[in-house]
Amino acid sequence: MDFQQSQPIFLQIADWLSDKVISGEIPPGGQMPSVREIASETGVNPNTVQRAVERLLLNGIIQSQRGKGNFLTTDARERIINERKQRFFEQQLPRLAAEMKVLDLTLEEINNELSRLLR
Amino acid sequence: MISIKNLEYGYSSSKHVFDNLNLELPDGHIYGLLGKNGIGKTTLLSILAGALFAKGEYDIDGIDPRKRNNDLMEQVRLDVDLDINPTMGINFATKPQTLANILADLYPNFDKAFLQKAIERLEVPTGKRLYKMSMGEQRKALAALSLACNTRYLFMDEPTNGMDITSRTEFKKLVAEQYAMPCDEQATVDKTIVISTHQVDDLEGLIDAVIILGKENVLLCATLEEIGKKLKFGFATPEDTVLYSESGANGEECVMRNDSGMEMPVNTRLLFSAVTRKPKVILPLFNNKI
Amino acid sequence: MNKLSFRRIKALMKYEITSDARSLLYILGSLFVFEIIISAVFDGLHGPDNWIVEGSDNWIMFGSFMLTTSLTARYLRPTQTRVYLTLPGSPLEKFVAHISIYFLVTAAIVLVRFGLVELSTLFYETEISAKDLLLGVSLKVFDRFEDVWVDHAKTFSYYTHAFNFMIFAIMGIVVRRLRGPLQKVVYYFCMFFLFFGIVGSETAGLLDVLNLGKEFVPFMPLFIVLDIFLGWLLYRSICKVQAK
Repeated sequence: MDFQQSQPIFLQIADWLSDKVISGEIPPGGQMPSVREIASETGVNPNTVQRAVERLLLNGIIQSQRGKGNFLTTDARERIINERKQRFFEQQLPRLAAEMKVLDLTLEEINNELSRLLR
Repeated sequence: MISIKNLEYGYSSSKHVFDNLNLELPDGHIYGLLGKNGIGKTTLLSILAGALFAKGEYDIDGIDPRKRNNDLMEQVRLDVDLDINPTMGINFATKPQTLANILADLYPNFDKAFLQKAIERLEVPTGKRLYKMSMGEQRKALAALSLACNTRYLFMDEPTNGMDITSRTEFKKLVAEQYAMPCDEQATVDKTIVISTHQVDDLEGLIDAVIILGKENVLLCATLEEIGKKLKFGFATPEDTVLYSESGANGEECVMRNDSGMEMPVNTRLLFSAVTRKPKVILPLFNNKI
Repeated sequence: MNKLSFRRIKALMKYEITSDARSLLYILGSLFVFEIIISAVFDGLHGPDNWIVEGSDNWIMFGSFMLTTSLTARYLRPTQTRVYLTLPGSPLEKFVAHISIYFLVTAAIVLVRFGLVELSTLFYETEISAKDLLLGVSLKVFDRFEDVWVDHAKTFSYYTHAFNFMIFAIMGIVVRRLRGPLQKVVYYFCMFFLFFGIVGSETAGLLDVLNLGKEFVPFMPLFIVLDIFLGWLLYRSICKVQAK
């Protein structure tokens, strides 16, 4: 794992796990890997991994089943996607807008390029 | 818990390595022990393990290491960097598995299955006798063996010295996995690992607390969480209060006050520079207790 | 704690032997060669047929006690022993482990000595075939066992205890309190003294000069006890010794 400087590591791990949900690697209702498995795969401190897991619990992405482990909630995927959308609107879009201003790009130019890319 | 009060130690009566050193390390963290060359990282670990006798009050779980109490020694493993004395270094005329069998008889929670995994992942040459291995191979063999001892306290002195790039990554993963495993079924206490190192990048993500040693005593001891809530690292904007800066490849890298209330990622390398070069600016923000 | 765990003692013995096996072999090998040379020079005057017998006689004492002191000396050596000092095992267990190695090695040396003595005697005294030689060795060992053992035991008591306890005491109590160059000097002085104290003929000469000799035989058990007691003192200090 490469660590970027923008987020504390526990949040990066939470995102990494969320990515697995989005991609379907952890199926709906599926079991989250254990703290130990995550630590072993990433080389990240288990305490830090635990914080990531707690963040996911807090956000309703996973729920704990006593004695069995942590499992995805039914709306886990939607929640993650919504959160990512919100992040996109709060962080990436303002950056794009600022860059557009600096480069004098028009909405039409952006629209054309985006349409082409989305095909 | 490791508790150290008024630690005093010198190799000779005139040269003091530690003077009035105080440190309290609660269980349940992987500590990175940082400090300049010769500051005493190896000495501190050796003192805690009971190889050296210092003056002062110090104990692990209430037991004085100087007593060399068997119950304590079974739960403490010292993994030293033998590079300091290459001629005295590893003379073991055995292969790793033979040494493993010996250690398994001494450390009650020795984990043979984990050792196998560690040996494979670190690519330790099991067919060679230890004294015939290169320094890096010896270091890997010893690290695998020490981790497999599965003790509550593990003190590793520059374990990645001489390790190739892939092994450093594998080592980190193995430490993380080993740390997450309880010593035995009844384990109620968390493990504690202290790793002394120069290469902080190797251990990024693995350590969750730092101990920075200065001349004769401790400059800083804090969790990365606490540091990340009080400081931020990177490039400064005009609104930031810069506490320390140094020139980096991409510009001025700074340590700034974090007023956002949100935890920011910690750049351990920068932190170390800032604490050792500008202690009076950085340290007042911390009270040195975890 | 404080129970003697033989599993731990065996493990400690294996650790000690394997962690320094090469040095031990070098020490033993060089002692053997050295002793043969010394005996050839000093005792060779008796004739070549005798020097192996005389040499191995000195060698057994010399070898076994140099071995003990070199094993002991390991604890005054840096880093390599740092981990040993922190291994599980009570001071008593570590003492038993160390003394056991000492006795095992001494026993091995005794057996080799028997072999050497027998072979040299047979070589020089009789013309014998290989098969008879093997037969001869086993029968002769039993015959000579008593003679050789009694001689050996006496030698053991005179030379080793008389001087060993003094050296052990100095090493165990004094040397460990010193540091740095002074420690090295005193340590090598002790080794040197031991060297001279143990080499057979020279010691016998010294004992004669001091008029100590046969009267020491009744004190043999006392010497054994004293030797073990001082070995134990040395051991306790070993277990309190620090890595350098």
